[in-house]
Amino acid sequence: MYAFGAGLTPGIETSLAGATSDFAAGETNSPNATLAAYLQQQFAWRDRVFLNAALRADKNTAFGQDIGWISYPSISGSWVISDEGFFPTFDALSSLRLRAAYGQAGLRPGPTAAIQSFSANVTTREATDVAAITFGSIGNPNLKPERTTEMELGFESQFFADRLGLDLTYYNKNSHDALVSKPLPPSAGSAGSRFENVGSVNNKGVEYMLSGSPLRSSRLEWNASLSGSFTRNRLTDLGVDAQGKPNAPVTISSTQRHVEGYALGSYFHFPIVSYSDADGNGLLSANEVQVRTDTVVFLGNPFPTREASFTTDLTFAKVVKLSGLLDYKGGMKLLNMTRAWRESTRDFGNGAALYDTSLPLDRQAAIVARSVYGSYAGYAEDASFVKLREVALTFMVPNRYTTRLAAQGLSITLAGRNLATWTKYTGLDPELNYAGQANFTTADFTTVPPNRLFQIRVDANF
Amino acid sequence: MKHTTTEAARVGRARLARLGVGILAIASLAACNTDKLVDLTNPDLVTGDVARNTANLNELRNGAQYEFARALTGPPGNNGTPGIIGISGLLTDELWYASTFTGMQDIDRRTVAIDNTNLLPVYQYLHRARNLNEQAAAAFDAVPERKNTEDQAMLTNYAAYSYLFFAETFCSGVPFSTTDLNGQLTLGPGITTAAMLDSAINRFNLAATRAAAAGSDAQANLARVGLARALLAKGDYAGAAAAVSAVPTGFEYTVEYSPNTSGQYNGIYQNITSEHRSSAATNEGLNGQNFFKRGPKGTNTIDPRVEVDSIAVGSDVFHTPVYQPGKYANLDSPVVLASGVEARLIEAEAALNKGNSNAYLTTLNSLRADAGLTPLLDPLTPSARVTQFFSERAFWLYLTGHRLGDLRRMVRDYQIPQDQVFPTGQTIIGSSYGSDVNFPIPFQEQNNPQFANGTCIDRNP
Repeated sequence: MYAFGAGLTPGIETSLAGATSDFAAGETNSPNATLAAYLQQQFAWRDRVFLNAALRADKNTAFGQDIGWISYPSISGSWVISDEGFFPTFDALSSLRLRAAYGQAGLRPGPTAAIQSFSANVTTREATDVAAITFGSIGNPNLKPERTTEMELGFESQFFADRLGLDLTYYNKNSHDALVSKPLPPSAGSAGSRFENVGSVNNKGVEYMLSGSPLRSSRLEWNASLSGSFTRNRLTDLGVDAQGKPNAPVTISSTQRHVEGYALGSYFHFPIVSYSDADGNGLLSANEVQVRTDTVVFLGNPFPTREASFTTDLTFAKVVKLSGLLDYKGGMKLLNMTRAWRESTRDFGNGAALYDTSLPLDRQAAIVARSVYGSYAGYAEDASFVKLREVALTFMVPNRYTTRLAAQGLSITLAGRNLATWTKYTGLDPELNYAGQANFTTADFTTVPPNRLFQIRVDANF
Repeated sequence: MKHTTTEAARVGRARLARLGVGILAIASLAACNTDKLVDLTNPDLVTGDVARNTANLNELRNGAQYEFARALTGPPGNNGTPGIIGISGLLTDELWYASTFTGMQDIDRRTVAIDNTNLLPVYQYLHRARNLNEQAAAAFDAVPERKNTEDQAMLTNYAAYSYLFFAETFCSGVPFSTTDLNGQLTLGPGITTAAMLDSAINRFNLAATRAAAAGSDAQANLARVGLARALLAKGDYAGAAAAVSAVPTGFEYTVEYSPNTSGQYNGIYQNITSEHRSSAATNEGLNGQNFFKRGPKGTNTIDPRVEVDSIAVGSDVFHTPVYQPGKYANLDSPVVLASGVEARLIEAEAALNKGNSNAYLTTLNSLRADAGLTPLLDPLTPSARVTQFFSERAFWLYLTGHRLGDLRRMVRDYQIPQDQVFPTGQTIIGSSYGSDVNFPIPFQEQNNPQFANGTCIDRNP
C-alpha cells in the first residue's frame, strides 16, 4: 500500500492527513494459493542400490480457469557397482556409483498471468473527472504450467584413496508448454503481451567435475577442481495456432526472436550481404555496403553453450593459503549496442570510428549497415571469455599467537576480484546485459561493468 | 540389524499400507471440488465481468474516450511520445525536436525504421483507441435504450477517426485486429490506405445515422467533417464539399484534457512545455512553412492563428530553441478535432479543384475576415493557388493532426514532388532529412501471423 500527498501542513509533515493537494493512495495485492499433494517412497537394498519414487500433484491460482490438477512423477536410482562381488578390482579405483533419474517438474505462471483484467483510469468529460475502464491484461484461460521432463545418466567415481574424483552427467531435458511472455500484435488494440504456452524446448548436454588433491603432506596441500558443462538449447516446436497452423516465430525485440531450430532468444537481423571499398578512399560509404532489409538471418546465440570453472588452493604449513578461480564461458554472442550507439549516425553518431580509415572494412561495414540500413548485423560480437575472477592470499595466524588475544582463530586475507578478462569482445565486459535477461532480452547498452575489487579482510573468532 | 522373515513381511506390509493411505489421500483430494480453494479474488483487478456488465456502459464509454484522447496527444511522462498530433507534426514542418532521444530525432528527420522505439506507442495507442471505441459501441448495441444515442455516435465517430488517422499517418498495409470484451483475439491482415479510408467512411456514415437518431448536432457535425476529410483523402472533392455543407462555420468539436491526473494531461503540452523535448517549428528545412518569427520571448507571433512564445532551449547539445504553441498553453488545453472552419476549407478546396477561383478566394477571405486578417489576393496561377491554399490550411489547422495528410495529398493528388513539400536539406541540428512521407508499421506487428508481408504494402504518399 502507498499514499502520496503534497502541500503538507507545517508542523505535522509526518502525516498525510494534512495534505492540501495531489493526495493519492494505492495498494497492490497478489493473492495466490497452491494446493499440493506429495507422495514419496524410498527404497534401499544392501546399501548398494537406492531407489526413490515420488509423485506431486498441484493446483494453483495462477493456472488458467480451464486447467485442473497437474501431476509430476519422478524416479531416481543409484547403484554402487564397485561394491558388487562381480565387479573387477582395480587398485586405483576407490568407488564407482552409477546414477539414473527421470522426473517431471513444473514452472507455474505469475499469479495474474491467466486472468483477464481491465485498467481503472480517470478521464475528463464535460470538465468533470469520471471513472474509465480500459483494456488491461487479456489473460489466457488455457495457461498451463511449463512442464519439464528430464532424464539424467551419470556416474560418480573416486580414485587413489579418494584423492581424485570424477563425476559425469548426461542430461536431456524437454520443456513442453514453455511459458513465454509473447508480445501481442499491437493491432489487437489491447495488451502489449500475454503469457502463452508455446511449443517445446530441449536442453541437453554434459556436466562434469574433476577434483583432486595432487599434493597432501604435513607441510603442503594442493587441491584443484575443474567443473563445467556443454549445453545445447533448442526451440524444437513453436506449436500451432487456433486454426492448427504452425505458429510464426516470436519477435521479442527488434534483434531477438524465438525461432524453431534455434536457441531461445537468438539474435536475428538484416544481413550484410557484401562490402567493398570501390573508390579506394579507405572509408566505406552507403553504396559500398549491401544490406538486405527484407529478411533477417541468424546472428548468434546470446547464451553460453560451454562453461568451465577452475578453482585451486595451495596451503603451506597450514599458515599461508593461496587460492584462485578461473572462469570460462563460450559459444555465445552479445549485441554491442553501446558501440553501435557511439559509432552509427542513426544513433548518437559521434565516434571517431566514423572517420577512421585504419578501421578494418568489416567494422566499417557494420557502421554503414547500422547508420544507413538500421542493421545490427555487425554488432553481434563473439562474447566468449576467460576471466580470472578471484585470487586470494590468506595468512592464518597460528593458535599459539591467537590465544594471547583470547581468539580461537585469526586470519588476514588479501583478495582481488575481477582481475583479468581475455576476450575478443570489444565492449567493456562480455557479461554485461542492460535488461537483466528479462524475457530473454540480452544486450550491452551503456551498462556499467562489475568493479575490479581489492580487499583486505581480517577474520577473528572469539 | 537383520529382520527375520516375519518381521520383514510385517514392515513391508506397513510400508505398503502407508503408501496406500497416501495414494488414497491424493485420490480423495483430486476427487473433491477444490476450485474454490485456489480461485482467489484479487481486489486490485477490474475483471472482465465488471467491464461486460451493461450497468457499467458509461465507464466503458469513458475508457474509450480516454484512449482516444491519449492517442491524439500521447501519454504523459518522461519522454512520452506526443501522440498522433505530435509525431505527425515532427515528420512535417509543424514541430522540430529539441532533445536527445534518437528515435524522435529520426522522426523529425524523416528517417523512421520499423524498430524506432517511439513508433510503437503511437501505433499501439491508436489501435487501442480504435478497438475499445468499436467494442464499446458494440456493447451499446446490446442495450436497447443505449442504442443510437449520442454516446454511441461519439464512440463510432472516434473509431472512424482512428481509421482515418491510420490512413493519413501510416503507410499502406496496416493490419486491423480486434480484442473483444471477453479477451478473444481476432487477428487481421494488412489493408491498403484506400481500404482504411473506406473503413473510416463506413463508420462516419454509421455515426451520422446514430447522431441523427439521437438528435445530436455535435456528433452529426463531427461525422460530417470526418467523412469529408476521408473523402478528400480519396480525391472526392465534390463529395467532401457536399458532406460538410450543413456544418455551421462556428462549429467546433474538442477533445478534453485536465491537469488533475497524469493520464488526463494534454501530452503535447507535456512534451513541449513541461519537458522541452519538441518545439513549434518555423521554416523547417527548405520547405517549411513560415509559421512564426524566431527570437526572444514575446516577439514571435506573426499570425494570430499560430501564436507561439519562446520558452526555453532544449536539452540537446545544440540548445535547440523551444517555442510553445499558444493553443496548447496548459495541461488541460483542448484539441480541436473538427470545426466549421475545416468545413469551409474543404468547400474552398472543392471550388479550387473545379477551377472556381472566385468562390475559392471568397471562402478563404470570409474566414480570414472573421479572424480579423487581411484578405488574400488571387495569385493567378493554379500552382500558386494550391500553395496559397495549403498555407492557409497549415495556419488554420496548425498542430491538430491535419498537416501530414495535407502534405501527402499535395504529393499524391497535386503531383508536387515530396522534396518540394516536406522539410528537406538539413534539420535544425544539422542532420540530413530522409525521404519518408509516412510512418512504417512497427516490427512488433510481425507477431501477427495474418500480417503475412511483415511490412508495409508500400510507403507511397
